[in-house]
Amino acid sequence: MPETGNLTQETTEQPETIGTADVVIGLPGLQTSDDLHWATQLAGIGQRVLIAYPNTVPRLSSDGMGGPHYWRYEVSSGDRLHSPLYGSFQDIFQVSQRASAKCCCVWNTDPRALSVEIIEKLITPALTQEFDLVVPRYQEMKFGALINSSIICPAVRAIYGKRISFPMAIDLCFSAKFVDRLSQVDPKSQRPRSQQWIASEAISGAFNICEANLPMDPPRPPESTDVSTILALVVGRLFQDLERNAIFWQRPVSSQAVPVFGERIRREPSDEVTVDVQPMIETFHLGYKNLREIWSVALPPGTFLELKRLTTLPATAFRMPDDLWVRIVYDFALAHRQRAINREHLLKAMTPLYLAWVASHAVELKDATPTSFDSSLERLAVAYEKQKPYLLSRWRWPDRFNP
Amino acid sequence: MWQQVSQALNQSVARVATRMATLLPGFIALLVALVAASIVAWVLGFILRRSLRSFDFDSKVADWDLPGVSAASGHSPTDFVVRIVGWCVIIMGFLVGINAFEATLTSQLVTQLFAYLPNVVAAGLVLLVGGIAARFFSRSVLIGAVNLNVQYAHLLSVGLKWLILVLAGAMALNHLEIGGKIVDEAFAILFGGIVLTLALAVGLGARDLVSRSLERQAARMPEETTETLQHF
Repeated sequence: MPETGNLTQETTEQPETIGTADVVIGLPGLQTSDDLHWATQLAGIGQRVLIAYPNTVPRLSSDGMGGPHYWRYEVSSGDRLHSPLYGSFQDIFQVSQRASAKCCCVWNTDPRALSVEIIEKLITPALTQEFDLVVPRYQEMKFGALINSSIICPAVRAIYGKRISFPMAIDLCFSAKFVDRLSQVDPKSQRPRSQQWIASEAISGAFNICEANLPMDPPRPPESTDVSTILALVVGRLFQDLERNAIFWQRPVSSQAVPVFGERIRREPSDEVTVDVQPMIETFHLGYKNLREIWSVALPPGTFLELKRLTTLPATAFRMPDDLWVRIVYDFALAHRQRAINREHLLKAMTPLYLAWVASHAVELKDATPTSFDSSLERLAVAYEKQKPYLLSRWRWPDRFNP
Repeated sequence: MWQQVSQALNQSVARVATRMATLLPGFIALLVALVAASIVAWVLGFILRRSLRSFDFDSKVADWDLPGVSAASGHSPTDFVVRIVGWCVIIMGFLVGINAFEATLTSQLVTQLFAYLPNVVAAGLVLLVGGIAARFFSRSVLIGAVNLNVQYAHLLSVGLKWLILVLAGAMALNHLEIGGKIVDEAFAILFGGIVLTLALAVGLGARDLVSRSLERQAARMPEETTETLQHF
């Protein structure tokens, strides 16, 4: 029996009635039992399923007809304080260990979007092919998940050497082995590894990773969150992770694809997509006029020259070269590491530059076909890989002259 | 007659010379005290700098992520601490030197100076914190306003910065007990003036700009609901 850790009184009272399970499905975001409309069909997947849900929801009971069992856990302070963009894992991992589950699926976003088909797609690679981490690959759509497409996905590919489409996904499936690893405390941060970035934990720990194509859109952030806040949260996490894993990521020189299960799904928009780039270009111009003092902390003079050239371009010809964007991201990562100014200020000051990239991307792919859309993102990812030596060099010798 | 004048002059010179002679040891003592204090400050600074660097004080302060500390002081945290300690030692040496003059007069001066010292320290702290806060909040406002595409972002940022600096300055002068009521009134006028300027600038000067900005915002609403562009 694995260690129970600091299971609460309520969870320790329950195992006699629950016993063991093959699969634990954790739903930290469950609000009401009505969101579990799909649960009755779980009998069809042929596994003993245990659904773990927080104690903010009234107690649920099994139907006794081969459906799932339920486990109501008390939310620990660590998971309660965790950002909804990062997800909560620790409490469910404890439940999974207690139930000796073969795999654990944590669905942090809206449980109403879940279905038996999605659960099967996520758990099958972990149960049958011994993958340690199954990462969802959501439906691809034109101009969707842009922070992921422009920064997170290509940066992870270049830096960590793994091609994962949504490395910051928080709806994931884990093997028991990886659950045990994530339940440990990270010696550097003194926090459970589950509160670090899961994908980089799996890559640096040499765990088997795969992707599962899911027939759904990427989850949306909370309504009140603006672009600047999301960018600061997500990119800040990437940069913090680079600092934590600096010894590991300096080694990979090329990237490898991870196995992908299921058919790739692309959502075509019902109408022709039109994006008004003018407000984004205006924000970039305003940023260039007012934020140069902050940008100069991160960006070298050569980059400023290129940005100045961008300010002279008309909206129809607005184009930010891939190499320039990649260097900007790497320079901000270096400035974040050096703590030259307050980190939140630095990350939020990146927003006008990010919007300039979005505007450039939208202008370039205005009438693009799905193939040219893919090739554009592939070209960007290759630029990230090509510029990795620049990041490495400045990471190792930050004071070296950089024109 | 000339004899009396010469005698008076001689007596005057003798009195001045005697007075100078009595003050000279005090002056020399003050100089010696200042030189000794400077040497002690230098030695103490040297030891302090080495010991602070040995346990990586600068990185530790950077890890605390205090907003704008390095920028406000203009030096590394180690230099900042060493300078403060150095100046404290020199001021102590100066006070010792001053005490070497006429004891009753200087001891009164020293007592008053020591009684006033907490006010100076408090005023200095208020100014330091005010400077850091002004820099931090003006930068926050500038970044937030630029990201919201507010055209008068710079004006807002500078206005807030001066509001905080004026507030900190008035508080510091109050602590120093300089100016009395004039400071309060000047502060009220300045603070009110800055607020009024901002209100006029935004409300009247940028009226068209605000209405255009609001119109653009309203025009953008339906576009956002079509979800053609998703950042996350």
